[in-house]
Amino acid sequence: MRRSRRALGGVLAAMLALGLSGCWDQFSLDQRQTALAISAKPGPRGTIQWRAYFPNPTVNVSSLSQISSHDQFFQYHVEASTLAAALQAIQDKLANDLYTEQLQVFIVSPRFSTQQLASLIGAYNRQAMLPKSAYVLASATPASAFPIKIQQPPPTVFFDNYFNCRTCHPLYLAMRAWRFWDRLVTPGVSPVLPYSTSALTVRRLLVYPPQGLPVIFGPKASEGWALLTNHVVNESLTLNTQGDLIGLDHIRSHAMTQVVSGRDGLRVNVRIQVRACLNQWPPSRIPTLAGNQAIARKVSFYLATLANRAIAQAEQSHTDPFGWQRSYLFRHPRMLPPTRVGINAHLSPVQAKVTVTTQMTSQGVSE
Amino acid sequence: MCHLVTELKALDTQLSSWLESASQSPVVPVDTYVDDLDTAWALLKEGMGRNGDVLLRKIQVPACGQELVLIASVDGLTDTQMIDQDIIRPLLATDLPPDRWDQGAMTPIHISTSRTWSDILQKLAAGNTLVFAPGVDHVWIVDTVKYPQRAIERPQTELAARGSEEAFNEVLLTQKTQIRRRVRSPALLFRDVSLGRLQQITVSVAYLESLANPSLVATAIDRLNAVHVDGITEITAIAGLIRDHPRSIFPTIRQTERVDLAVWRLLEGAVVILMDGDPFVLVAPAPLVDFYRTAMDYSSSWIDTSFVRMIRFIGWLMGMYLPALYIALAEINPSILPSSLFIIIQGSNAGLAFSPLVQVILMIVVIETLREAAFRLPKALSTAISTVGAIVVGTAVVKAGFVDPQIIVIMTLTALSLFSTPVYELTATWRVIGFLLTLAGAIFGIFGIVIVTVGVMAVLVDMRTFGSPYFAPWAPFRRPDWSDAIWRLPWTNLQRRWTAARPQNQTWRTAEAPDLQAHLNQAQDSPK
Repeated sequence: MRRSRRALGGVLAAMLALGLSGCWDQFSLDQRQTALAISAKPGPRGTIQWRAYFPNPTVNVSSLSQISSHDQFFQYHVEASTLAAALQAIQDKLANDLYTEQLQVFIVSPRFSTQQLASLIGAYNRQAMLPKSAYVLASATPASAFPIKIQQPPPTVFFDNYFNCRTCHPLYLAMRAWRFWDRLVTPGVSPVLPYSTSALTVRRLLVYPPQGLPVIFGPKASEGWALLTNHVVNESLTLNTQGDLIGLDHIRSHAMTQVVSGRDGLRVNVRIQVRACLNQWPPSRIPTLAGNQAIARKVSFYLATLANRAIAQAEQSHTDPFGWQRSYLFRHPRMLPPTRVGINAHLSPVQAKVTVTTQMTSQGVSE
Repeated sequence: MCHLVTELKALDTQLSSWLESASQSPVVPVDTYVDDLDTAWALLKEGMGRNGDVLLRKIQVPACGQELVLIASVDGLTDTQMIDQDIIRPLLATDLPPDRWDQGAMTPIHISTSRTWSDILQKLAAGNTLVFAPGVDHVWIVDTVKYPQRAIERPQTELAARGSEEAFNEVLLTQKTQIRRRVRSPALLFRDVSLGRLQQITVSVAYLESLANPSLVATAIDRLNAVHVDGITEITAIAGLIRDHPRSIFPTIRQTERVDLAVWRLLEGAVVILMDGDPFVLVAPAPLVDFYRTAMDYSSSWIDTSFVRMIRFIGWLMGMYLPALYIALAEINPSILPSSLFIIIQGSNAGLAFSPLVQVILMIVVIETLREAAFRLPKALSTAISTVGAIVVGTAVVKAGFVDPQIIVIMTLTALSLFSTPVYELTATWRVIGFLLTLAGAIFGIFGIVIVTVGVMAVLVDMRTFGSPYFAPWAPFRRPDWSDAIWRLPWTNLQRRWTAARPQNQTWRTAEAPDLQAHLNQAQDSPK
C-alpha cells in the first residue's frame, strides 16, 4: 500500500514537473531561428508591412571576422494585418521554429496613429513569446534603414546597445515595451516613443495624443521633456555670452514636481536642480564666484526655456507626456473620468511654473 | 634393554597423562585445555601445524625435570629474536615452577594465560608465542607480535602544503601509538572490538574519555559489535556497515589517513575508529560541512583558509550546476539568457551532429575514462595519458565536430571544480548528483534543476550522522558553528568546539590566560 502510494506520488510529481516546466513544447538549440528585431509600418490596403531580422546561424566569436557584414544578418519581409498573422507568415518562410524570445527591438513607423499603435502594442503584449523588455522606438524608415550592419558586431543590434548604455547619451529616451503599454493604458499620461531619424540619432520624441497621429517633439522640446522627467543623464551645453564661448558638460538634472488642482485646471510647480561641470572658459575672463553665478543663471534660464518649450508644445497638442495629470489622478482617484479609462485622456489644462537652479562644479578649466 | 626401559617409561608417562585426563570431570568441554603436552602437540600438529610457517618446538627445561615444554609460534608474525632471548634462554636457566614463570622466567611484559583452545589458537594466529608447560592447566601466551609494516609515510590523498605530513599505516598498534604520541593524556582510551567470525580482526574505537559524549562512544561500540561478518578487509566496509543511512550516496562517516586530522577530531569530542590492516581511520560524527574542512585549513592563516573554503564552495557550485545550467538554458529556457550569449551558443553549435546533452554525456564519459585510466596506470604512464587526453579532448574532439568548444570549456571547469572537493568519496557523490541535475535540466529546464536541488536539500536536512544533524550548521542553524564552517575565524575568535559531536565540554579555549593577556597588554602599551 505504502509502495503504491509512493509510486503514485512519484508519477504525480513527474506529471507536475512535466506540466510546469513546459518542456514538452521546447525546441532544441539548432531548431530555433532567433529574431532579434521586428519592424512594422503601414502598408497598402490597411495591411502592415513587417520585417524580421535574424542573425546568421553560423555567427560565433571565431567566425565573426570571416563573415562579411552583409552576411551577418538576414531578413524576411511579409505583409499581414495583425501581429499574429505576421509571425505566422514569417514562420512559413523559415525551416526552423521562429524564436522571438530574444527579440531586442520593436520598431514602429511614426505613421501609425495612437489607436493603431495601441492595438499593435496590445497584440505584442498578449503574445507570450515576445519579451516585454524589448525596446520600442519609432523610426522614420523602419523597413529600409534598420541599422543592423553598423557599429555593432552581431549578434547585437545597434539600438539595443544604444539604449542599454544608460549614461552614454545626453538624454535617456529608451522605452521598453511593457512601459509603453503601461503608458498607453494609464489615464493622465501621453505615451512617448523615442524617434530615430534616418541619421540614427535619437534626439526627438513622438508624443501620442488620445486620437490621431503622434506629435513630433523636436530636439529642444525633447530636451525640455527630459529635463522635466529626469531623463537628462549626460548632456553638454555651449553658451555664447558676449561673444565668448562657455562650455559645460556632464549635465544632470533632477526635477521635483508638485501638482495641485487650481480653479482653472492643474497647477504644476517644477523645481529642477541641475549639476554641470564647467569645462571651457574664455581666456580673457578671470574665473570668479560672481562670474560663475552669472553663468549658472544663464544656464538655468536656458534650460527653463527648453522646459517651457516642451510644456508649450504639450499644451498645444493637448497631451501630457510628463504624466502630471497621472500623478494627480493617482492621489485623487475620484477625479478619474468615468469613461476611457485605458486610453490617455487629457483632463484639464495645465499651468506650469518651472524653476531651474544650476550648480556648477569644475573638473579643470581649459582656457 | 636400556632402550626398552626408556620406551616403557615414555609409554607409562603417556598412559598416566591419559589416565589423568580421563579421570577428570566428564563435563569438561572439548574446547578446554588440559595439561597434556602430547595431546597439545597432536592437536597443533594436526591443526594449524600443517602450515609450514607454524613453528613447534619442544625444549628440555631444567625446572620441569624430565618433562618437555612445548613452544609454538608463527614464523613471520613473531619476533624470533625475542623468543630466543626473552623466552627460551630464561626458561633454560630458571628454577621457578611453571605456574610462576610470568614472575621471572619469561621477561616480556605482556604475558597472559588461556585455557580454551579456541582462544589459544586465536592468539597463536595473531602472532603470540604459546608456551605449553607441564603441570599447569593453562597455556602461557607471550606477546611477541612483530608485524612487518610499512613505514610511516606522507598522506597520499589528503595533501597539504604545510603542516604535519604523517599518515597512518596499516598496523593498529602503530596507529594507536601515532595518536597517543600526540595526545599525551590519560583520558585517551582505545576500546578494542574484534570483528569477523573467521578473520578476528581488531578494530579500535579511540576517544577522549573526559570529552567525548558517552552516548556517542557507546553508539560506535554498539554498532561495531553489531557487525557480524566472517571477515572484513577494508575500513570502508566497516564504514558502510555502521554509518547512518547506509544506502545514501552521501558519506555520513569520514575517512582520513592523516594523523593530525584524526587527533583534531578527537579534541573536538568525536570518536575515531581504527582498523588493523587499513591505513585509513573513520571519524564520527561527520556532518556534510566536515568533509570540506581539511587539515591544511588549520595550518594556514584564517584569511587564506576562509578564501580557499569560499573557492571550494564556488567550485562546488560550478561543478554541480554548470553543465545542468548550460543544457537547461540552451535547450529549455533560452529566454533567460542574454541575446548575445544565446546567439553565440547557437552559432557555436551550428552544424554539430549531437545535441548539447549528448555532447555533455560524451564529455563526461571521456573525462571519467581518462580519470580512471590515469588512476590505474603507473605514474609515468598516467602523465602521458593525461597529456594525450588533453590533446584529444581539447582539440581533436572539437575539430572532428563531435563537441562544441563551449562544452569543452564547461566540462573542463566542471571536472576541475569537482576534483577540488577535499574528500574523495564526496567527489563521487557530487558527480552523481551533477549528472542528475544535468538530466533534470535537459528534461525540465531550470524548473528541473530547482526540483532536484530542493530534493537533495530535503534529503540532506533529513539525514543524521551518529545522532547529529547532517546538514548542520545550516539546518539546524547553529550560528556558533559558523566560525569554522564556510570560513574560519582567527584562532582568537575560536572558543567553542563544534556542536556536532555534542562533547561534554563545549569550551575549546578559555579566556583565562592572565599571564598571556598581561603579556599582550604590555606589548601593546610599550613604546614603539
